[in-house]
Amino acid sequence: VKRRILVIDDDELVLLSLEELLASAGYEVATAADGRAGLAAAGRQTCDLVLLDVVMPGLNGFDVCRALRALPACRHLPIVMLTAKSAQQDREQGLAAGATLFLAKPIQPEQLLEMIRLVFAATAT
Amino acid sequence: VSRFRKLRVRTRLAVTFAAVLLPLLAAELLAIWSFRRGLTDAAELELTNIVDHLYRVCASQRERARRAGAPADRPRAEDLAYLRDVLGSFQVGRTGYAYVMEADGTLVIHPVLAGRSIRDSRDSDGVRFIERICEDAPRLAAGESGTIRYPWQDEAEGGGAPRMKILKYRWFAPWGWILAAGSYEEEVYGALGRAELYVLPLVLASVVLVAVLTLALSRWITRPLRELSDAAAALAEGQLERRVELPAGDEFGGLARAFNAMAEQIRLKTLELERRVEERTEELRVAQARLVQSMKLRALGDLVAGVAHEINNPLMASTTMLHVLAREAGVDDAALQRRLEVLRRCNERIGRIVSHLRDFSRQSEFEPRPIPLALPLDNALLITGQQLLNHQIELHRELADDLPRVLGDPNTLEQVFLNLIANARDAMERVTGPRILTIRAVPAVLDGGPAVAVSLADSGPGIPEEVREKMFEPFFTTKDVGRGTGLGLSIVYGIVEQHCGRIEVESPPGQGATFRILLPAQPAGGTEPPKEQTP
Repeated sequence: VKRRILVIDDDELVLLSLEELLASAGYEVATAADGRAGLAAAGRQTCDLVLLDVVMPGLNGFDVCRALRALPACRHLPIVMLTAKSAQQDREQGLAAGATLFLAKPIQPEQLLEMIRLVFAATAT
Repeated sequence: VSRFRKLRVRTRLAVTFAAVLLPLLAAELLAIWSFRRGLTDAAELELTNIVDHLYRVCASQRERARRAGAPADRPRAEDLAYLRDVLGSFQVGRTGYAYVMEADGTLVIHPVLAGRSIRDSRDSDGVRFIERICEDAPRLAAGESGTIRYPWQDEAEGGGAPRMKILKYRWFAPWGWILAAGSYEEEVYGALGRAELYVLPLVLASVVLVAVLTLALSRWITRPLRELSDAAAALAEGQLERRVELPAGDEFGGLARAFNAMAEQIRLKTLELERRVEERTEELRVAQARLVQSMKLRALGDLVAGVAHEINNPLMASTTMLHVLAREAGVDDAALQRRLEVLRRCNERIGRIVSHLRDFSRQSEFEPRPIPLALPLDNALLITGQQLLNHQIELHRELADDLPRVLGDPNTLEQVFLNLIANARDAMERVTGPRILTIRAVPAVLDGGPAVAVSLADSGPGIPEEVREKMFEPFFTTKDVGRGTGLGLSIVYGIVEQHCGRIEVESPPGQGATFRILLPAQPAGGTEPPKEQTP
């Protein structure tokens, strides 16, 4: 069974490239271009992991993360936050909002895939 | 007294001298006057003596006549003859003479006019002076002589101005005679008259002399005061080199010395003050330059952070797509893989630049704490050690045993050393001689507090002056395109600033470049444990 990953990022290029990368790695990928659309997508269709950008117009990554955690279906959903912001404070804020992992952009594709594998491995047990 | 005090010193001195000298002058005049009186009296006494002598001769002749039994109320013929002889022998001055007359003015014994009455004679003022004598003489007390002065013009002597005559007379009661002796005053006072010829001009001269001396003396005494006053005025106008030249010894000499010492003090203090103002101005200039630099850096940091963030997303997308493409193309398609590799390296370089930009702008992530300097330094050396070996660079690491802990952030300080070591490595790349990097740290003082001075000296070609001026500015680079971002030293500068430290560069021609960093350290107590191995 293909694992399903929801990517929420306001940058179209990032969205497209991640979709390609994850698809080529054998995942099923859904995309959303902003926080609101992301929340809607998560509510519409169950997924196994969310890749979430922090800096977005409207709802930002932290808001989306908190909103997702509020959904009963998503309470234990692995959420990987991805951001150009790497400050310790942001990292802590992200983890406080309920993120499973906090990664800094830019990240090497191999590294990202490895991290996702590790998260799945951890949640599987 | 208060008005006296308001006068100028010179005037006061003049008044004082006048007050002393004028009474002296008055005393002198008084002395002259009394001396003159004495002389006059003495001169008159001579006339009186003659008259008295005449009296005694008359008295003794009368006594002789009485003893001879002659009548006592009239002289005998022999008495007259004798008296004529005696009178003739008297010399009174040059032209004076003695004579005898009856109470009615008839001359009894006289060199020329004997037997004639001169009672009606008048002096040149028309006064009948003989008549006066005739009236006065019988009234004189016994032993007393009378005196009369009158102006007289002697036709026999050829006219000319009337001259004063003085006449002494006495009453010889037994015979009813008036005994008289007279002469011109000038002859009587002879010497006195000549003395007066000199005395008056002398007195006048001394008055003038006193006046002149008084003025000159007061000028002379107040001259040093004027000089001091002029010098003080000059000093007040800013002529700090002005000094007073006065002979030492007296009070003015002492005052001049004190004045000169004071002037020298003022000159030195003023110089010192000017020097300090210059120093402070220079410090302010430097501080302002530093402030402007750090403000520029901060503004630039914000801009760069924005740019880095904006580049990050497309870069990540690009890198991700390249990864996907490379995987799908398969290792067999060598040509495609080679082209994709070029693209990947492009992305890598962009990534490196972005990373540098982020380092440059990362100013808020800074938490200073006391750390041993060796921590960030050795971390940096660990990372660059292999590179230094590859470039045949000899490393000398000399950390003093008693280094205090620096107040800093280990990560950012590591960045500083990484940048400086990388620069040294690049600088020595083309050096054919020995390639030596010397890193030395010693305790120092910064802004009055403890500090650590770290220096990194390379044996490269050094840094030209024009580069030194600009090398801390962002995007200034001397490296080939693609090798440097021009941000390394700018980042170093920003980090050192953040640590409230200082960075300076020395590059004497032909002796490589030395970067010296001063970092504030923990006050007394925390010293770095000795750790002297070279990685």
